[in-house]
Amino acid sequence: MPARPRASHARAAAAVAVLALAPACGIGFADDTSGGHDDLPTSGAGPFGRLPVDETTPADEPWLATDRTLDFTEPALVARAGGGFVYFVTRESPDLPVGDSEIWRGAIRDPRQLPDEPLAPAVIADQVWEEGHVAAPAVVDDGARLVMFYEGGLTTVSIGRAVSSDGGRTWQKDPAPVLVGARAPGVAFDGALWLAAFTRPGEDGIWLARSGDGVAWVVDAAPTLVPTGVEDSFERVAVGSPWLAWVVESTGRGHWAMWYAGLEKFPLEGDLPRPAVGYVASFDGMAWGRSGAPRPVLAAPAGAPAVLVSGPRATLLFDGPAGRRLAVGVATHP
Amino acid sequence: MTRARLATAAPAALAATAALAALAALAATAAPAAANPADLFGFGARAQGMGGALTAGTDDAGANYYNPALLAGGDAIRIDVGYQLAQPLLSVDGHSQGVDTSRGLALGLAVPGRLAGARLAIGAGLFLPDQQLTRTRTLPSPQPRWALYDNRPQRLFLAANLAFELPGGVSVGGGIAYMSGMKGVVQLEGIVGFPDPASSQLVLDMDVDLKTIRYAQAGVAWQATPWLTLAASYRGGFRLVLDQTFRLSGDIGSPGAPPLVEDGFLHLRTVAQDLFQPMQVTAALHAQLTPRLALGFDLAWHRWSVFENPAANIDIELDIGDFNDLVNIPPQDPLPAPHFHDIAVPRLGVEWVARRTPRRVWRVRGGYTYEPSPAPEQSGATNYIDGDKHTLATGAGVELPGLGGVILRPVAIDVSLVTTFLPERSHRKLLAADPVGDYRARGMVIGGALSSRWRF
Repeated sequence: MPARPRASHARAAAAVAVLALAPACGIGFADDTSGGHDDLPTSGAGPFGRLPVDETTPADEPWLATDRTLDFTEPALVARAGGGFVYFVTRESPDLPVGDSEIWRGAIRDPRQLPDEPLAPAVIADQVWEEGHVAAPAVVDDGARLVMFYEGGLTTVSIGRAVSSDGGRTWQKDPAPVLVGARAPGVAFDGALWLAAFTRPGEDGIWLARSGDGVAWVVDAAPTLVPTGVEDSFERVAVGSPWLAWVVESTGRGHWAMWYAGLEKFPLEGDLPRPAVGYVASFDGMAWGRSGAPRPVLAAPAGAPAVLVSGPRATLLFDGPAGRRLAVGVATHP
Repeated sequence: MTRARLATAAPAALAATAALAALAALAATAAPAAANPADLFGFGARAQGMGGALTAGTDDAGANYYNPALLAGGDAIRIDVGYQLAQPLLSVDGHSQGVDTSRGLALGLAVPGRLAGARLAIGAGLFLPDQQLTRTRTLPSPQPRWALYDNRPQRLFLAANLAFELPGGVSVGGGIAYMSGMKGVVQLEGIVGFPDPASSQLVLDMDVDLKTIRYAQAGVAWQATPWLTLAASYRGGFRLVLDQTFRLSGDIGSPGAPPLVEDGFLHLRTVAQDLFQPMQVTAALHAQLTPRLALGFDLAWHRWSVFENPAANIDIELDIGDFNDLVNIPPQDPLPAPHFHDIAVPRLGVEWVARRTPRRVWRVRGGYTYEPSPAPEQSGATNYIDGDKHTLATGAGVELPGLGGVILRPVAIDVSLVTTFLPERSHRKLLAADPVGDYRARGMVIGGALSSRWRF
């Protein structure tokens, strides 16, 4: 039987036609902004880029800690509950005596803004063995408190230890250094093992020491990382200022990560060194390696790295020349 | 071919700088794997609703994609008009990757005829994305990306087919499908201003070809019994290559003064596999088990093992005379092999006549597809993220005897809803220093289609 014209058929056909043609006219159902570029996983290996100058912010990008009369160097940082990070720097007056330094603390939510808590003294040299010199902090959050390892002393430079239960505002020091004949510590804790990286006066390379409690340490027999001596290598003549972290990835597996300063050539007298930041990593803390060719993860001049890896982002603090003084700057990945 | 010739001074220098920057950026990037949107999401609502298990059972213009041989089975002109979309919801470490929606018009045409007493048909199928006809997005080589969902759904599909019916219930069909690749040269000649770049005097030549790529598809179907059809299909694979060359040659210096560098040049060429479709061979059956219930089953083989690393191969030649020692361009690291493997994809679909009246036939459909990932765990330098895919499909349709007094033959309207689940997959790196590190990837893809099938 032939179909009869019916109004409902016409309405149905019109509805189908509208549904079919509407998208062709640009009426879509969903947003189609391109993706795949954000929130990608990272192990903290960079590459890092300095915060770009932004005239619309109150910050002095890329600098986090800078002063016209003081040097700020050798940063450390830990994540702060509620966002942002707490950071520590070595503050040294340009006046004599050399080594008359303190460790200052600040806190910031966004490095493009002003600090929530401006820099203020946190650790001063009040122990005899420190000889007026405390510097190069490495701070570890062990879950219950902050543990700081720092360089102290001038005639026998050593590494001391202090703990804080108030977010790093005040510290309780161990009476004696935990590593003698060592400087510029970087320390990390994987929940069972404490691992320390440091340099030694008069010796090349970055050394490692291991501990079950962070107090009694066993030093490796040989340095883990030494200058390459290879022409054009960013770490040809020196490596130092290590920063260690235990990075737990999303699969639950962790690895030891080490950032350090490498120097291609020694500076001429009166010049500042121009280090760059390198990166190595290890699953077991024994065998360390790179991915690909040995290239810096942050270009010179940038020394004394300190890194915080948080999800898909990593923040790296470094020191370098800012005008006539040394200052602490911020670089990020991505 | 597009050919342009410009003779400018400062603007040309800026253009050169921009072109160099663009090409340099291109050279450092890689393009993801791809195939076509129909491979991922099906073609037409009826097929989607049956999980794509229609290589032996399509009775509409969708045969242009599933099996050209089945075009010969009809005796009416068939036009399919539909719209389909798919929204991937894919994440890495819990962060959405914002992979693009795929959506567009799905059109099909089948025109029957007779030649020397035998039935034949010609047909054409077209998927027309309404965002872009094709996209060739390139990404930095190590950047994690959902390899099969990035460029893959973002392109045009066009196929033209011819089918014959042979004695014994056999029909055969075949055709070609089209894509286009690109080959281009950007050439700058003249004086590169130094120390003042604005004094450059360069002549720009652009020579870009959109080259046609054709690949074959074919099918055969056999009506073995009144209730059983057996079929097979073949869909050719292809690689679409982006070949870009940038040439800058000339003197470096100030116009009117002796050049600092005479006859210097920079040649940069990048060659990247931008789109890839694996060869696909499918064996299938369609069984009308009861007057109300039909079942389709496809088993497809996808040849992913020949998939090559889509990162750009870069060739740079530079000669700036006495300044060559100041420039050190390291050789490109060898591209790691992706190590994809072939996969077998089973598809199962059912169609049930739920209600039949003199003026309506209502059908409901369901389907399931399992597509294992061709990509291995990404433990090395590559990060081509993919996972096994479980697709559940459902659909419904109504067939009318006609529309008004204008369309006197049956008209069918179908809808479908499909959901593809990609269970979580962990990728653990062999090197602790891997810049990306371990990650977990998971997701789902929600899609649907609305189609109308018309006979004249």
